Amino acid sequence: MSAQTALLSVEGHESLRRPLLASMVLHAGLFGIMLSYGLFQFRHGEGWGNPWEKGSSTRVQAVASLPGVPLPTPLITTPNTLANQNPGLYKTEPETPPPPEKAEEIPSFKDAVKPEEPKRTNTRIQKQQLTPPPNAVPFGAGGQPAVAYNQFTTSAGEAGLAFGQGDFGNRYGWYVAAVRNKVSSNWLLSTISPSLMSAPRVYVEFDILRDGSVTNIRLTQSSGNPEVDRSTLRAIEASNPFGSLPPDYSGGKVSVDFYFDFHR
Amino acid sequence: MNQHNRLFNLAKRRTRATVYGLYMTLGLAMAVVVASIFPSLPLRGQITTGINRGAPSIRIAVTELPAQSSDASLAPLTQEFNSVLWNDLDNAGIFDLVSRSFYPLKLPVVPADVVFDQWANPPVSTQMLVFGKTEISNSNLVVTGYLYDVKNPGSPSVLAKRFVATPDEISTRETAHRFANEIVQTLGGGMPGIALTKIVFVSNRSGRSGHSEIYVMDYDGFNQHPITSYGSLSLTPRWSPDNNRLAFMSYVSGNPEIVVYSLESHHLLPFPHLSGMNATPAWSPDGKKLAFSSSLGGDSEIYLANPDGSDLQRLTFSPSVDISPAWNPKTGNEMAFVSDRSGTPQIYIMSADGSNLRRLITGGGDASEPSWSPNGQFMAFQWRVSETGTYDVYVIDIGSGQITQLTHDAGRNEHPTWSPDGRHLVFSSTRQAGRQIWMMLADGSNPKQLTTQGDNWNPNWSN
Repeated sequence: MSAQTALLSVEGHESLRRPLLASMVLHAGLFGIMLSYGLFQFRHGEGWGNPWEKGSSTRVQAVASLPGVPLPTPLITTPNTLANQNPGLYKTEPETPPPPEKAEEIPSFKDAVKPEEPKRTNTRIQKQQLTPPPNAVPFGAGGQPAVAYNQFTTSAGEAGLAFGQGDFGNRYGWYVAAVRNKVSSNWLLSTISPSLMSAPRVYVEFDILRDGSVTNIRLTQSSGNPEVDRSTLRAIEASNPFGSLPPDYSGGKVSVDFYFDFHR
Repeated sequence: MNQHNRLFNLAKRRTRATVYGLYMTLGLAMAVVVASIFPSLPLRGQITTGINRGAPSIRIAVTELPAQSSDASLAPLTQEFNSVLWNDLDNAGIFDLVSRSFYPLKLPVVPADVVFDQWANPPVSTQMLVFGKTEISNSNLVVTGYLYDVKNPGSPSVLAKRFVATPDEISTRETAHRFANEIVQTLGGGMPGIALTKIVFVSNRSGRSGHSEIYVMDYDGFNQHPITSYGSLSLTPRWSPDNNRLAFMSYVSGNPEIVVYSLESHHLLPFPHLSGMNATPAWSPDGKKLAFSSSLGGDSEIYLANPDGSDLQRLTFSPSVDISPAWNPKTGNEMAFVSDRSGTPQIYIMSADGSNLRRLITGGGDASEPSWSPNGQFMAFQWRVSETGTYDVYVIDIGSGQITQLTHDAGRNEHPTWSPDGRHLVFSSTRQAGRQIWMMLADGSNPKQLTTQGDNWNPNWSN
């Protein structure tokens, strides 16, 4: 009886109210910290996870489209450290040298040979000869990564392009670079209203004919802002004509995908 | 037993509550950490705007083409070819030329000689390689030139050209200019090179004071020679869009008049003698109209006429001086001109029929000598800002109104006009001895002096 009442009283006193209250107070505090931090950040003019910002969209794309996304597993030879001579739990007895058959006589002083001069060792710190790994890219020789969309920055933001039809971009990299440079120098910040800070990516497709003239410019994905759309189309039209296609290229035209990421 | 069960259940409930509480706390803490990391990522990069920004210059190695036959005349011609080619590519503005001291000792002559690693790797680290050879064959100068993309050993050949020319200095220079133009056009996105263009200018080097003649030279300052020898004052020459005619103002008949000169027949073409002061002719981009200023009606106004002077039409109507018309070469339906209707010379823009007039430069000082860039986007002009009191060359982005100063602290810089590729400006400057013609890139870099004799001014680039 007495034990039962004692237990009941224990049950009554130690209800879940107190830890629940404490945890609610704690959570409220955490929410408060989050909210105040967010307000503090917002006041400084930085957006929260804006999907069109430089940090989020473009960079991710660059990494994801690197040539080796299905990367071959590198052949790394890890030294097997399991079968070494670390002292284990059961220590193998070191082999004791057999005792000398006969004690050596101490040579007389006259016959004693001069001890050899100890060899001087170079105590200076030696420069370590670093051998580069076999797949190392020499400094400055790497060039641009072969991303699917050749990315670059213009005065009005970032843009990229891809040449269709097989390996045109690989064979005539200089032509792609020339197209890129020309469009980037023709995409103008001044054609977009200064109050606009950024816009979603615009995708434009066009064809370059043999003589370098541009046809069939079409907007494949609008940014939702007609001003930005027009400025990208103007950049392409202002670049018309490009140089004539490489003479040894067999096709009659090359279709180009171009994208523009506008931000100030 | 019952007690044990209840105790056990109680303990289990409390443990569960504690575990849930811990989970929630952990989750919230992680949310806070994530939320605090993400907004602090670099969000808005600073973008610098400017002319020709955003396109990296191409690294190019230009080897000295070796003379492959032993004629005595070939060595100096080969040297001339190499120096002209180097200068042309250096002047082009889109290349970063790799210094020759970095090149491997064995230079390629034929495509099989090219060791790609030597050129693509440090210290050369070039993208493009120019090589080839010169030889004399059938008493002709034969130049074989290659342009290789050494970063792409799979299909490196970009250009392979053979030029045949008469073995003299003029043809050798022209051959080098042609090869440079091919390289610039191929790698520059189809914009033709300017290596074969010419610059017309005014010079008083003949010596008589108060007199000046019209001169012409290659774009690099070579082969300067006079076009006129009138023994009077001639000013503001302008190339016609087909490069066959020059229009300028001259006192040759005693009165300041507009003169149209044919470069084919080397004679004056008919243009009516208008009374008063007639100056600053400007060709419309289609070559079918000539705008100029004339004081025919009392004070200087802008007039429009056909190149033979017919169909004269007055465009401006103000009691002030209106001079220096400049067409928009892209559209041909707009014109800039200089007027002092506000008190000081300022640049205004109007439609080609005189309507839709507006002031372009809103700052103070004197702004004059407008020159519209070939793409219609920029206007170069000379400006004496009141604060500094010096004449300098400026460029305004007409769309945004943003003004860039191109010359600084270097004498008096005037009369800017554009090259046909829109990458260069030619102007007159007093930064060195006398008043000389200078060339620079359109961002103000890489100035080069083109003339040295006498005083030279009013340059205009051919089309």
